[in-house]
Amino acid sequence: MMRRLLALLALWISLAAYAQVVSEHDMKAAYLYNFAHLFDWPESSRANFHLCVLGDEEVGAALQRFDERRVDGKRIVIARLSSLAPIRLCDILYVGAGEQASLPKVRSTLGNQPTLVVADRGNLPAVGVMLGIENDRLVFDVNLEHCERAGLKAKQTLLGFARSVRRASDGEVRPVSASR
Amino acid sequence: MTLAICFQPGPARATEVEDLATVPFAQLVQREVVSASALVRQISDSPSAVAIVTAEDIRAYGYRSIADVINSMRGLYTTSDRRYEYMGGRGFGSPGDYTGRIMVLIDGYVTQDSLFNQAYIDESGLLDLALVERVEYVPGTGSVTYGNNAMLGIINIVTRKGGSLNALQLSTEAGSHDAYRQRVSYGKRFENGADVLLSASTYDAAGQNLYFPAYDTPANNGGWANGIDGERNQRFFGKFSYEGLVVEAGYVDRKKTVPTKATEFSVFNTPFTIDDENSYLNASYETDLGLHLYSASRFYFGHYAHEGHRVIDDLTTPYAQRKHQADWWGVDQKFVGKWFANHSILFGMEYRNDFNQYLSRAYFYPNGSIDSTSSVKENYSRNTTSVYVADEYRFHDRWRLNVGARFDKASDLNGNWSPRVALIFQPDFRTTLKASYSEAFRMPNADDKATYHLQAMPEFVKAKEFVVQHDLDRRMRLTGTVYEYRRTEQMIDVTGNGDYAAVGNSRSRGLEMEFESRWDNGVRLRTSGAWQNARDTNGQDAVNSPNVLAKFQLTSPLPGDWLRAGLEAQYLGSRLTAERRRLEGVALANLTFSTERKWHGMSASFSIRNLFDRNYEVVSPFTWAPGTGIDSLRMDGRTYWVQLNLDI
Repeated sequence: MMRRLLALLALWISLAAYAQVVSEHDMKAAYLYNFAHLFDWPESSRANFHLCVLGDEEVGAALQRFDERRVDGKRIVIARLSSLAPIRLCDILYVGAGEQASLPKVRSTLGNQPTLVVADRGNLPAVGVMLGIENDRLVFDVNLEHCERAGLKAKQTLLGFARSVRRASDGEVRPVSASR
Repeated sequence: MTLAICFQPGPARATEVEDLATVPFAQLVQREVVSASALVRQISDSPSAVAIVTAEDIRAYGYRSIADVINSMRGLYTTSDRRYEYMGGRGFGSPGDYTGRIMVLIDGYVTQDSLFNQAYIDESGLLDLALVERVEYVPGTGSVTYGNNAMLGIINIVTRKGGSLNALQLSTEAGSHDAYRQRVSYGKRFENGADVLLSASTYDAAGQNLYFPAYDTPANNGGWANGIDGERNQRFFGKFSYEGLVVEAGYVDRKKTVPTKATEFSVFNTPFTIDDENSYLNASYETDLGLHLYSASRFYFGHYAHEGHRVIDDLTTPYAQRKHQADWWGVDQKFVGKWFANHSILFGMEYRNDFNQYLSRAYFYPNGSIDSTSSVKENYSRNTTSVYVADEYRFHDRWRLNVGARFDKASDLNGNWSPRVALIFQPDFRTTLKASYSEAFRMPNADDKATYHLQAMPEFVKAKEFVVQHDLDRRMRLTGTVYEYRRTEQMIDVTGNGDYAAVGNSRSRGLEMEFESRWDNGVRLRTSGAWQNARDTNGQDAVNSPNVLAKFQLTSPLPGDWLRAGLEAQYLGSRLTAERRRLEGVALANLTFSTERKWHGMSASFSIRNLFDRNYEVVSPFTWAPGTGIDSLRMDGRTYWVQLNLDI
């Protein structure tokens, strides 16, 4: 009986292993890595580029494979955070579902310093980029007003793929007609 | 052979994750993703198969104590002797063994008292379940993290945040046998992020008149114990958190009259009262020191007091009293270094001072004066210094190696290392395989020292475990685990005349399977089976260790979406009593209805326990009347319970 159960388990596992899919957290990590390239970053005295994760262990783990890669000639350093204490050191800060409640605090701590805050769902006015799932695709909304206030310039490529872009002038979300 | 199949990495996917870094963003946004699991995720970072019960389960199935929660979990069961609830599972759980070879933590605070190492999981426990956010059971040894006493597993209780209550809540409960509880709780999250939770409750149960066939003689009131089954408690709890700082305190005082003849010398159908008081203060501060170093600092203080009064079978001094008291404090400093991409290095140290361990027994003449010659007072103390280190090394995209050890040095014992090594393999994001080997130990506690004197020695366990977890899709999960425990240096009576020595060995092994699913329409299902085989120190089948345990839980919203029903069934397989009589297996069902939504701040629930009014017995920790063939304890039939809450 036990052997049969184990055999059944093994079958499931081998089936799953061959399926051609990307998990949500692997994809989020890849997006964060791409965001690093899709913004113009202001001059900074730091030697490294700090990509921080708060409130999502799995995205943190998935990001590890981008450690030591480069952006603008700087070495990417992945930081898996447990608290808000060091967030002013981050260039990109990803706030996962587990820390949604901290978003107001994140905003007030960072002020207008050039940190790109990416949130998993949550409230767009508080962050630069918000991720979501739509039709089995990972989509994102860009809050250009928030980015500009922080001195971050989004490249046109990024805006082209966004589900929506909120600009300083219109104050409301306007869908962008993307090439897809 | 099956293992060989399991460990074959999927070549089609082996390089794909690497690819994501080089895939142009334009293609990335077109890729289909598979959403993360909708099932509840474990917080505990442990290489074993964690079982989780959340606040919504507690509500849906009408759990009223931690013992109820434990009973619902894969491979676990509790045994009541109408005094305390005791926990069993994986071959542990010999009758009367205080819930002590597992560890019960509340928000990181170890709740065991420092005299008996008992964890209180019934009405003598520290928390009302209304304050519990989740309970995690981490099977397997935990000495590598927690040191002394984490032999069978760890039960982590996480309390709610005040913000999740966000009201002043008044609650009243009523149940069978004249049981009532009143509770008032207040929770709030403030604008600046500070969070407060305060609660107080009182419980009062008259209990039942109980019939015990072992004492059915005219001199013993025909075997009836009348009016001596009452129970009451008071509880207070408070928690304040702001940013990384959490300060919390709890208090419980439970008084119970014991209706059984619980010891050899006690007299049946006479008042036998016990009073257990537990309290604690736990203050912790968590922060990140820079980008790569996490720090958690903790200070705790604990207090336990017990008072018991009984009538004993002794004409000159018929009244016996026990008074015990213990106080302890400790500090713990833990760091997790994440300087290297593929390592998480945990290290830290703990100092614990059990500065007051007082045990006393006193006997009184009929006129109330003390017999000082036969009375005993004992004082003990112990301080323990511990260091621990562990590294989780991700040496491949799909493979992790977790190696750790903890060293504990108590003032009255030799130092001891508790190592653990675990290998974790994730062939894909839906599947996890974990294999681990660990060693754990338990120091003799103050009560052991009082009982066995110089013979009191530490006890050890070596555990091997293999776990498979697989998400069939984002709503369904299958968990399987096989384990073996080998215990050594257990205390046994060598000659049969009370000459104890720490020379006993035993082993238990087993298999557990669980299926869990959670649909978007609010229906949740969890079912599990556990097969275990436990041998005692004589190589015989262990007492009170059922070979089979099965659990089934199903909850669903009812049409109209105002009510939810929760049905629970538990099967406790046949097991041996202390006199090696086999008790039949028993299946029990519980049914609960609870409101899904609040109406003007009001919510309610209604439960029926032992729905089909089954007569059943459990293994009793004490001998009733040797030779009569009566050595088990009858449990309650069908009972009812209703709870009303009002949020202001």
